[in-house]
Amino acid sequence: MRTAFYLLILVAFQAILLAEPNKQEVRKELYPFDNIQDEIRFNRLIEDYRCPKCQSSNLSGSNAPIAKDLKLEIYKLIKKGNKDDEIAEFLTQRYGNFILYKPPFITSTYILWIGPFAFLFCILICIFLIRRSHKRQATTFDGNELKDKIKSALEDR
Amino acid sequence: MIPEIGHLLLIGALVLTFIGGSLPFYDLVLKKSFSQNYIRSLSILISLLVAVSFTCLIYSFLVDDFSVIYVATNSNTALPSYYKFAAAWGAHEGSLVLWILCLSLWLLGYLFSKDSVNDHFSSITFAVMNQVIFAFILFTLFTSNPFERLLPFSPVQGGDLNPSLQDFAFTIHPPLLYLGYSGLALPFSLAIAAMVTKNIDSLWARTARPWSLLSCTFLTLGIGLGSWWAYYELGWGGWWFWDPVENAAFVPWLISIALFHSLIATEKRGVFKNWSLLLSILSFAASLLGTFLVRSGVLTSVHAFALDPERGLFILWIFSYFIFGALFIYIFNNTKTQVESTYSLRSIEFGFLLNNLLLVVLAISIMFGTIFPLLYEAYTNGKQVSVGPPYFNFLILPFAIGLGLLQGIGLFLGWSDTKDFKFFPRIIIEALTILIVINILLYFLFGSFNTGSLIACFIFAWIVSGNLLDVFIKKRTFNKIKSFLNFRLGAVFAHLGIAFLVLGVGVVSTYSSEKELILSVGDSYDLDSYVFEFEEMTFKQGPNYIADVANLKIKEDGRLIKLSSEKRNYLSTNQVTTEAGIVADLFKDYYVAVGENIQGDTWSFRLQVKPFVRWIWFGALLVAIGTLISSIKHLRKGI
Amino acid sequence: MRKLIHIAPLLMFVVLVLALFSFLQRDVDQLNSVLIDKNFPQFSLTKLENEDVVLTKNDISDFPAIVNVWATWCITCRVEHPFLLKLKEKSEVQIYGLNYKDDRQKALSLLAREGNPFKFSIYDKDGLLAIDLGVYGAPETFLINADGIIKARHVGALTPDIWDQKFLIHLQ
Repeated sequence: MRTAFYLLILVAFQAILLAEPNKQEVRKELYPFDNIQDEIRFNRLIEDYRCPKCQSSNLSGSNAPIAKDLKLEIYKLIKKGNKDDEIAEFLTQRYGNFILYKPPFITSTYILWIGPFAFLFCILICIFLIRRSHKRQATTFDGNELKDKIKSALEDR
Repeated sequence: MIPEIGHLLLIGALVLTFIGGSLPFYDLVLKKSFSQNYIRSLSILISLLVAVSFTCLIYSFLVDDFSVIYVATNSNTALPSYYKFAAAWGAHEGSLVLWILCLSLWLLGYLFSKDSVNDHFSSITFAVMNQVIFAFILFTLFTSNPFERLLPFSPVQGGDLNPSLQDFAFTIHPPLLYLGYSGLALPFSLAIAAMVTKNIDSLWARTARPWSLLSCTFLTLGIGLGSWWAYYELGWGGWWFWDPVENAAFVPWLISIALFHSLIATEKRGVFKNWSLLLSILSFAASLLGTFLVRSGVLTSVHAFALDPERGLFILWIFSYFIFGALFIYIFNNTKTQVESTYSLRSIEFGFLLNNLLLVVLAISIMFGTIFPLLYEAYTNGKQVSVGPPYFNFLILPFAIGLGLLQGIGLFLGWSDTKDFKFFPRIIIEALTILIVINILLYFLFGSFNTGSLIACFIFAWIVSGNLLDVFIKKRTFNKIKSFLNFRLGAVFAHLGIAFLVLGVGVVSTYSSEKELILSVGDSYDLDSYVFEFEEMTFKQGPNYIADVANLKIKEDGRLIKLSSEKRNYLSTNQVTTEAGIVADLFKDYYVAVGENIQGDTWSFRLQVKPFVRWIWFGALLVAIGTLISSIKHLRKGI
Repeated sequence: MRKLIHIAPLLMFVVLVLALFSFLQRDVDQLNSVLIDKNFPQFSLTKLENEDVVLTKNDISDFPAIVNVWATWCITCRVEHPFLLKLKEKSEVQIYGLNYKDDRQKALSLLAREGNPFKFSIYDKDGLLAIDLGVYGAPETFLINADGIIKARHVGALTPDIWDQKFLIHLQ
């Protein structure tokens, strides 16, 4: 089955090659791109999408047939000139937000995106407040001690 | 017969740990402190029982006793003996026995170290450790007994050890990781002992410090090996995936680092006492929580164990018992807080405070991100979301920058206050010099300049210059060098390790490239700086697998590199794995994995260039060495 | 304030442990479909039984219906096959097939051999419609109610139990 599928890809690419007669050399890449930017984009995108079948792997690292189909689909979308968010939209309309390894920034995920930094900030504020109250305590404490010392010194006399 | 002996010995250990766990109560009832006389002999006995029991399990594997269910599912007559040995801890049940063995070894190590004196403190520590061991033996015997038999109809042939686990790194990765995980039980027990005996002082901090350092050493080695294994074994060239199982080890690692830093301040200046106690509890909690996530099956993961919610429930009860117990003791023992000694914003105390804050908030956030999909599903009625590498990379960046900056100046700060800031401009100048040199080097190595790795390079330069200035400029006289070797060597090693790690991560994630190719035998593929050629395909017969071996050549500036990648078929389970062909040098790895056979002698390939990837594990190794140096120094000195 | 900070860790652990206990009650992992409560997607593919006939969304017209994604290479599909045949006998629900990334001749001979529960099958050789449906493995079954809206999706073999629990409620 997989073999058949690969043959299909191969045939598809041969068709693409035939459509561009001015290309002399036979391209051996599985996902040939015209420019390096698209290729980098492709490699990044297949790392950022989750394979729906294998549950804990991205498309890039998965050998599942569906991962290959989706890689091919993303490849086609890039070749058609779609932008990153259009590709993300295409995938989430079919597989839900589950497929995005980078969860979207929506109301229900605010806590995920902002939470850690807000938490850190709150603790920092707390620390400074506590430091200030400490300082005040320390100074009053020192003052009393000094008074006592003076008192006892006077009494000693 | 042998498995039954192993089973009985484990039950024996259960009984002994029950007695050991309740020893202080006898003291209380008898109003005498008699337990102290028995703890050493008891702990030797417990370790012995568990060790022999574990040996019985290994023996069952070596003789292919397939009437034992655990052996039958995880071994096979064709499996090489070395892997039969390692298969004993290759799956859930056996790895638990290893956990128990590690726990008892830590206890033994503590009781026979110089730190341990014959007193109430030691016997409380002993009791808490015994309770932990007891809980884990109970868990093993009731939910995951590795000695269970399948009689009278036992299989003549076993299943197999998961093929991707049949590998050298993987055989030593679990013992190291479990030593790290279970080692965190010791600082936890010491913290309980300190609270119960009301000895929350610098003596306690000094006792706990080397043990938390040592746990960190093993965690570092375990995680580093795991990452290396994933890199070359899983066949897609990733070295870290923010997988729940990885996070379950990473979070305790972060907290253990926070813990031993905080313990330094508690020991030297008597500050952060409550915080150190809390961290001791938190680090063990993180270790148990990791165990829960990995073994309960609530999260899906690439390398989770066989799953069973009943086990999850059991671990959760263990978790609740220890952590709630500890936190109750914490609340009732320490409600009066003394005004701690004052320190300025430029003091080392404050540096440790920031370091701890960043580490702990980061650890909690990673844990939150890991379980967020479950929370989300529960509170949105079944909507699903994934939290993966893009999120965690975004999260860790500011924390990593903050921690990196602290590491550069940390060694120059003084207790209470730092008066002399003359080092500061020197670090900046030196860091900038190193930064420029690295970037020129990177430019010549890869022929392009990439701004993506700039932050990582700067952090590297900053940490290196901060730590090396401390070595070479501050210390001139012989005495000072001696004191450096005494006090700073471990810290400098560990910090430099982090610097190399950061540089490796930064460069590999920006300068890597990959291609998927379709090549027939004899084809070559031309890239700017090298030619990649598919030479031939050969067949190989392994001990328990057959393999197609793709032999390849890479020509690069007149240099000829040969490598091969295998597609293995493990016969007993019919599982197919890919062995990547890797050519490693200091600055970059070529990573080739053969894919599917498309037709005849045409195959698909995945070719990757991974610059500086070795530096990540080199860095981790340095961290492990550094923490090891420090802990050994403290252990030898004693209290 | 100080007291609060002191017991805060305990409170946090209470919340954490409660959450962890609730996770244990969770079902096994199944990806929920985002197409639920939506229309069946548009498509234009040939009929399995006759490669000259092009099918579109309008050909799936008799509701309520199920669309079953199947293939000859899929072993689990063999498991649910008898149930689909029985369903065809006793239920008024229409059964459409989506032949997924398969060989036409193999698929037809399998149906001839083991019986054909489907009114007809859509021949999706490249898995195009399957991607539009969010399919990630065969077998999968989609339930379309009397109004032509997708109401449920099941991944894995369809059994009488799952039919009763997951599908029947949407048909009443």
